[in-house]
Amino acid sequence: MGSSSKKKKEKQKDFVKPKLKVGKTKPKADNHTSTSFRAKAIVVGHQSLNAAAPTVQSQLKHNLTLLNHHAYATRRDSLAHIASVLSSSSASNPPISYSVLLPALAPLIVDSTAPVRTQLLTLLNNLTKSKDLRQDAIIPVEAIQMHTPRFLLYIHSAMTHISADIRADSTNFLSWLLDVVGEEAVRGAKGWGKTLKCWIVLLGWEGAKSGKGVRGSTIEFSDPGKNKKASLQHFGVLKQFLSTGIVEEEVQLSYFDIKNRSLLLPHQYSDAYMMPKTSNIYGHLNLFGILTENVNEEDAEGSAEDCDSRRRIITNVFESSLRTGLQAKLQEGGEVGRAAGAVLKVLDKALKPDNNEMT
Amino acid sequence: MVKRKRTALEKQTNLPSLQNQIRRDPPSYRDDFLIQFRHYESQRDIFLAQPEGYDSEPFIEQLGFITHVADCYPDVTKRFPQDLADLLLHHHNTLEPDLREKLVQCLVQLRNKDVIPSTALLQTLFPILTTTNSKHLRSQLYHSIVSDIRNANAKTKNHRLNKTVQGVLFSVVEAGKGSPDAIVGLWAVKVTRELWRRNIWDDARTVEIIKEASLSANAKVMSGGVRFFLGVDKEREEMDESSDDEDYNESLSKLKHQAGVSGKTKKKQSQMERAVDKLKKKERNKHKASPLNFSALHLLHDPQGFAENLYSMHLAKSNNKLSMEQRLLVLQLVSRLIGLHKLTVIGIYSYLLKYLTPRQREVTRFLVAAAQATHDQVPPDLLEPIIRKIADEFVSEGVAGEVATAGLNSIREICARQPLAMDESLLQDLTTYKGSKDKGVVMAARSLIGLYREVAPDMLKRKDRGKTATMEMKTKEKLRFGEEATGTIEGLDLLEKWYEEQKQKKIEEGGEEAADKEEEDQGWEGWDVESDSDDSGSWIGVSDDEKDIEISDSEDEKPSAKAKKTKPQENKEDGMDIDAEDQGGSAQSTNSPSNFLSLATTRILTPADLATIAKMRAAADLQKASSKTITALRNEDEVDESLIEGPKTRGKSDKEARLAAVQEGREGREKYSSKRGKTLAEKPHSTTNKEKARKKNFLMTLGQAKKKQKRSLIEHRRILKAHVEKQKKGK
Repeated sequence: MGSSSKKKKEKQKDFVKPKLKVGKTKPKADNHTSTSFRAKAIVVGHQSLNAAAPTVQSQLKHNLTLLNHHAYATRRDSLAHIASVLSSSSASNPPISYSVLLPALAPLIVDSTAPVRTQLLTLLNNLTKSKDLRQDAIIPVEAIQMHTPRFLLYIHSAMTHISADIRADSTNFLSWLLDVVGEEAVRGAKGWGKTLKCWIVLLGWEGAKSGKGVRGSTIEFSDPGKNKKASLQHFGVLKQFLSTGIVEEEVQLSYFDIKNRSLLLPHQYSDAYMMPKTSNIYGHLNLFGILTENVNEEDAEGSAEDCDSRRRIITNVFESSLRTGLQAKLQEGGEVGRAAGAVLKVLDKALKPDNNEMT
Repeated sequence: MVKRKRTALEKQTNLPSLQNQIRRDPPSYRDDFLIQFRHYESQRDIFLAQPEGYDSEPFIEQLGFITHVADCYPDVTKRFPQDLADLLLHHHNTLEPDLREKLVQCLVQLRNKDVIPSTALLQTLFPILTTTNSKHLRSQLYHSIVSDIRNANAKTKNHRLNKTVQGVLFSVVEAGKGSPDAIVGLWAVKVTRELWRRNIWDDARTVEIIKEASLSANAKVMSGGVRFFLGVDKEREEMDESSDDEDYNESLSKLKHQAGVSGKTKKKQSQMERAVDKLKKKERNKHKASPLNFSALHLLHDPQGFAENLYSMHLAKSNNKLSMEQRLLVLQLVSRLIGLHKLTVIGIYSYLLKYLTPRQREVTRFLVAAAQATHDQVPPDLLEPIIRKIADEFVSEGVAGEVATAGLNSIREICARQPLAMDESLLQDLTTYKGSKDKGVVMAARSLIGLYREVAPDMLKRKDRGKTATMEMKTKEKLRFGEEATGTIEGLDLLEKWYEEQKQKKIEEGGEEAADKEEEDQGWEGWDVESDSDDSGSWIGVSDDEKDIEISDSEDEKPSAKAKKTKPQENKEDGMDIDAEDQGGSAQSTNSPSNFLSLATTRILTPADLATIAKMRAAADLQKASSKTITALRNEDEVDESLIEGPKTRGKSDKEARLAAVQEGREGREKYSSKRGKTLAEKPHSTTNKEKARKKNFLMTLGQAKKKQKRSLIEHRRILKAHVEKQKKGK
């Protein structure tokens, strides 16, 4: 009996409320931790005091890996770092191989954030174009030419991207590429037919071919000003693209040139049997590729190695939709209409001599 | 305002929303789709330019999108499936696992949307299945192949697809047949087996694939094929049963219960009706015989050639590298084929002879094979050495009881199939084991006696023959090799008897003529309606009769009753007995078989008659199963290993083993204790009086004890009485 009452009392103790009294400090709780002490110093366990800073090369390498970082600010900053390092170095002795650098830069064309794309564009413009005639560009044109197909792939990807911002920026990169490498950018199936296809879908003129009418541009911004700006820029680049592709440069042959040529080349078609001047002229045959390209699709992606074949492709496949689209824009008038008219003029000019020859 | 709406409509930000819009209105969103399709193309090109180290996440998303809407724009996506197939075929070893999985998914999805035909899908997936190194991919491919074929055959059999797939599988197996390293065929076997198990493929062409596989040089492929023949039909049956039974019955009983318990609502009522409908449909299907449900062994073309090839390829050659288990499998299959199709493969008997010693591993399986390989067309001279060897090696004084049991049982199984293999003196030697001390041996010896009482009683010693067998001996013809019994319609005797009874009933009720007339009519009428209650009443009568007969038999001679109805061909003679004893007084009994054919020759059997026969036979079988008989032996059936091993006796074991057995029995059992204690233990409670008494201080109890000793008789009586009173009041 006695033990049970004792136990009862013990149990009750837990639930007894402590009495608070006026003027006395509150009793401390059981689990109270005292924080009254003060530290005199904070000791850091380990600190690296290595005097040797990382080399420029290793920093660059690190920054290249950061181009895939998930935070856009990091990507942008590493681009800036690369630009600053390269611009201060000499062209003859680059701190990093271009065959490493350029493939790493190309994927950023389809980067999802605008600041990174702008940073990339400024980097490319600064490093690959010479500021004045006395000085060569930092990254030589040959290096860019080597990697043109790769840049083209990403530009195509950007031109057809679902995000309107990326699509709007895509032609800037195309413009840059045309500026730097010129005809190289429009050569071959990738450069010409593929790009034209992308142009058509970018401008929304696919329906023109089947007679369904032009839907207008697929450049959609809720802000009409931005819309206009983007389409102006698109038409500018389209003009540049077409003139690079199909307008032959009127090289004024001097008298001596003509004479020399007739001396050196006894036949008028000797040109056709000479060694080709460009690389990879049989690329369109896709001898070593695995996937068979859509070569048969109305010859859109056939060989486009020279100006004539490019012209042929454009008359066979794309001319009607291009013309319909441009005419529609021209009728709309305004600044955009004028730009479209300029493109149309280029098209006319390029295709007219061809027509004359045929008739 | 209108314009704002329009731009809002057209703004595309992510693929899922675009996909949703395209699905609703494909023509309007054609341009958007075209952009995305070009985007896919450019991404594919990027991927091809650099297959490794490619960030595939956006590409995967794009693939999913295009696949989902591919059927809306067939003109644009004409080459899309081919692209996917090429990517998968050429890059499946270097592709990232996620991308690879997505590609397979996309192809399957395209198939489901009917963008590509099944054959195209299978032609893509099957080569990868056989060449890829990735286990995960393999299982994904395997499942998608099987499920695709299943879906194609879901409503009706898609014979064209099946034919092409079977052709592909056959060529795969055939290509790898010669080389011992080619395991490509294994996948063909696996796919075939799965489809057979699911009852999707059940024709001879399927069996032909497996036949080819079991003749392949690769041990794995071979054993896969052999296992198919040995086990797949059982698997199929099990699968059928398991899929049917549980669902409906359980759900129905549950519904019935619920209908009783909770309130009646329209929903529940309709649920109930649906369940009942389903059940009825199932019942109907159960009675419908499925015409194509042959076992794989029955569907074989040229079983003789197959058995010979199997034997010569895998067994006869001494230098092949098959393991014991694989060789046993082949042996099992060959013997099964021999028994089932009554083939002649002479070599197998001498091959078996080598392994029939008690020390051989897995000897019971060899004994089973020996029994299975026996049928009545095997020349007795081939079997004689086997029986002699088993008798010498297994059945002698010096060996253990189990060994002798196995030997005797296997001799019995062989002799049941070919009684001529035994000679008289050996049989008489073996029958003396009925006096053995081991129970298994006794049972085995007795069953041997029972067998020969039926087939050839004259070979037994006089005292072993028994009364009925002795009586039958005069009429019984001697066994001759190759003799075939004349055929009868099984169960015809039962039908005749049923007619007799019906007639009797009718006569009791009314005139004889009316009975005759009615009988004729009823035959065709009953076919449509199948009056169950009427029939069931009648077959109870029949079974009663039979029981009577059996009882009378067992009074005469117990073993003979045991031996009754062992073989189907013996049914005829059984029937004779029944009639002879049943209608003993009526002087109708004759021993010629024509008596039983009388019904068949005098009238045309109606469908109703046939249905009755089926029922009678079912009832008779039930009777047989319940009475003690040797299980029906057929050369077509598999021999069970337990049949040869005999009854298992638990030998003397040490204490530990016994205790372990006891513990095993206690597993999962509640501990024995009072119910009150258990309920108290579960809940918090105050101390009971009993607990208090138990804990009470010893010194405090002393006084009470002393007082108890000192109290007078009267006092004692009063206390006892009070106790009794208290007990009564308590109740």
